[in-house]
Amino acid sequence: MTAAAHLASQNPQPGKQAAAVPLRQLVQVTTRQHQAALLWAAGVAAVLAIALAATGIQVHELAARSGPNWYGLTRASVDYGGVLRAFALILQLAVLLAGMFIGAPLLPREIDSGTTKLAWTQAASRSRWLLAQVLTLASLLTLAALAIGAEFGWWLSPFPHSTGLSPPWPPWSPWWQLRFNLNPLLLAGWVVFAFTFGVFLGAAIRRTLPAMAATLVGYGAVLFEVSASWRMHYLAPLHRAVAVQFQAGGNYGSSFTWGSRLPVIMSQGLGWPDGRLLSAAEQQRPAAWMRLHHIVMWFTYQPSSRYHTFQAIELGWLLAASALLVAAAIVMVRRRPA
Amino acid sequence: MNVIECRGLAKRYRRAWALRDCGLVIPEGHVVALVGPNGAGKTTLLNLAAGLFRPTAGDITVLGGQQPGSGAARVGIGFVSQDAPLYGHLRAGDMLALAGNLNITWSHERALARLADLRVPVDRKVRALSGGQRAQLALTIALAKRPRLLILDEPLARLDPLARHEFMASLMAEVAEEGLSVVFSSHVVAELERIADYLIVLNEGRLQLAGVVEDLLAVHRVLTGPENENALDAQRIAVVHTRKAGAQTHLLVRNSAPGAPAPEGWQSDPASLEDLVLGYLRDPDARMLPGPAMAASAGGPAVTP
Amino acid sequence: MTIDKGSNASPAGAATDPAAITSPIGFRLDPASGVPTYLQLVHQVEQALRVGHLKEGDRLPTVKEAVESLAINPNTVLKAYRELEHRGLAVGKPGQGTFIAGTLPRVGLAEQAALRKSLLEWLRVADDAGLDSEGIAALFAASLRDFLDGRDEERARRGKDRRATRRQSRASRVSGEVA
Repeated sequence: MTAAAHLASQNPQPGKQAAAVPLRQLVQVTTRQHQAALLWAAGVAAVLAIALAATGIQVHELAARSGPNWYGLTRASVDYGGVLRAFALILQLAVLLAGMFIGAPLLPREIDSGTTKLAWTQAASRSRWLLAQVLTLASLLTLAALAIGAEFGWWLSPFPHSTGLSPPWPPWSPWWQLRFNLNPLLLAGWVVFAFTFGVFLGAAIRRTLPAMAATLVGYGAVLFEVSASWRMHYLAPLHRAVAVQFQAGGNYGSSFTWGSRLPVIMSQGLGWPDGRLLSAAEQQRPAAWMRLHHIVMWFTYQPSSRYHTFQAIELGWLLAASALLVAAAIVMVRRRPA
Repeated sequence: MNVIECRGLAKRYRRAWALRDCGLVIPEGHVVALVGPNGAGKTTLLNLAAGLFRPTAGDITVLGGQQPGSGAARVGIGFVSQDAPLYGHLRAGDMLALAGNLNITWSHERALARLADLRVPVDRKVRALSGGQRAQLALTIALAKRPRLLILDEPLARLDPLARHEFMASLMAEVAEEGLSVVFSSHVVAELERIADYLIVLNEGRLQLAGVVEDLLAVHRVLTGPENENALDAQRIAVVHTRKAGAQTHLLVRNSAPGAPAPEGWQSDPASLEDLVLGYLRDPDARMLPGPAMAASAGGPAVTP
Repeated sequence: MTIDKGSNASPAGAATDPAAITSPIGFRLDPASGVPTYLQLVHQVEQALRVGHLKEGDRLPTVKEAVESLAINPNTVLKAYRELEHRGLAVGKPGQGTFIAGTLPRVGLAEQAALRKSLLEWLRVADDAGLDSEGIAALFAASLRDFLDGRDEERARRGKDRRATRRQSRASRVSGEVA
């Protein structure tokens, strides 16, 4: 027997059955490895925070000076509605960029540079390694989102709270498409979703630029679809028939009011008492015909009391989808070569 | 314990077969040289042993029956891939600490001492280190987890002669102290003789030769003689490779009787490791594979035309 | 071969070796010589003994020291030291290293003179046969190599036979006891 073998048999390898590497250690791996990217993200968040703070102070001072109708009174000088729109757009963009620049390159960059051959031949398993990376980065992104979301909430507080009846809603309406998901919890949910979507696409596509492009297109499509239509259908909309007084000349009016909490009206139209809507031809009928057939105005709407429920539903499916995406990424990483 | 054991191992990338029908039994305690031209399948074999991907056919186990890539295999094997991949944007010391956090068994102090001995600056970014320093850092990381087996893919490829000597010297010192087994691949034959005591020759994805160097050299000889070598057919000498130079013929032969004198009219010299490897590489159909008994007996399975 | 009294001590060596005895010699290799590495080491030790640079009790370099300076397989060094033990020149003390234990057989002056005479005789025959000086040197080198290889193989075979007979006698003793 060679001396080397003799020595080898005398040094028993500790932990022959590999114990799992503690998650705490793997978290340190993530922060050390991605320190540059995290600094960049922190920088972007800081810039956003400062911009929000600076303009927010102006808005608050103005509202304090001018009283509750400050928005209507001062619109002419600075279009604060436009500023709100701009910030909302920037925040949505920031979420997309988090997915594209932190999530999508996570795996392809390591595969391209060959460092997976280093990382995946250590005691830590690929699953634990990836899970730790995702959890660490997602947690940091969540913290940033909660902070920015809370700050944005403060920024919005002087604005009027009324909800317009139907789309397009004014930008301060909580239902406004680009603002609905900017509440802190929901913003965190979307950031986590964008990030995990990027990670998933990175695991599937394995090349950095294509993964980033796919994240841009994919996340953009989901955000658009959800904001434009899915969101309004989380619960089956309610229907209500409202009596209408028909006058000559095709005009009609109603004494009905919705009360203090305006609903979100998805669609409305004249229709038969049984619920069918009038056809285009039938809408031209004279007032007498309308009165004869007891034509009413049908509203399809979501009551504003469902606002928080909808937020919860959206957060719920975002987190569920994120978990699935991470699981799928882990499966792909285990199966495929380094 | 056998550090690497495989049977019928094969790997295909899209249409091309990188490795075909590979059968090996490598015992522990050796420094194994895996030799072959570029594209022979060396990296494929080493990556399979490291568990970086799965074989297309056949099976392979490491460290006495463990699955490559399993928890026990990852703990017991230190792997340095070609070009020693490291995180370039980190400082050397941080790179070491990061690798330490990916492991449970970890000798951090020893690793730092080793880097200091080798004059690798821990405060410099990895991408600013020289090729030799990067290779030493990668090796230090692999050694710090106290593995039973070290797998190195072309570790000397980008190193200047001084760096090569330093790398091999420090590696052999570790082998002397820790008793670990080493498998490394190389396409440079000249320096192997001092380092390797077990040899594997791969060519075009197929195994040509495998065994303990001492035993292989004992059963091969170089015969130098006249042009006409037909007289040898009568004797039971397997000719591995023929090289004609002018009026002389050099044959690499495998004896059935190692102590036998040279045939009439031929001069017999011992074969060097370089003779052996080059002779087999030049004749891709030549094979001497270990039999089931795994003793490098004289005259393995029948071979060449 | 380098002679180095004292500067061979590395900090690690001093730590592991309590007596801090440094080895008087350092090894060198000639990769082109065709002589197996382990034999080169053996010959260097024998040459050092012959010339007087090594005496009884001197420590040979540890396996780690030799390997660090030469970049060779540790088994080669072990093989060389085993061969030196076999020739009765060295002895290994576990935990301390390998030490010179014997001397080379000194060939007496009279015997040397007789050997020189028969060598000159042989040279005259070779010269008459038409061999030039390079041919003589090549013939001598090849014959010396063959002789040494044969002698080493003979020793190895004798060693194997000795071990085999020892095993047999042990086995027969055991079976004798059992029976």
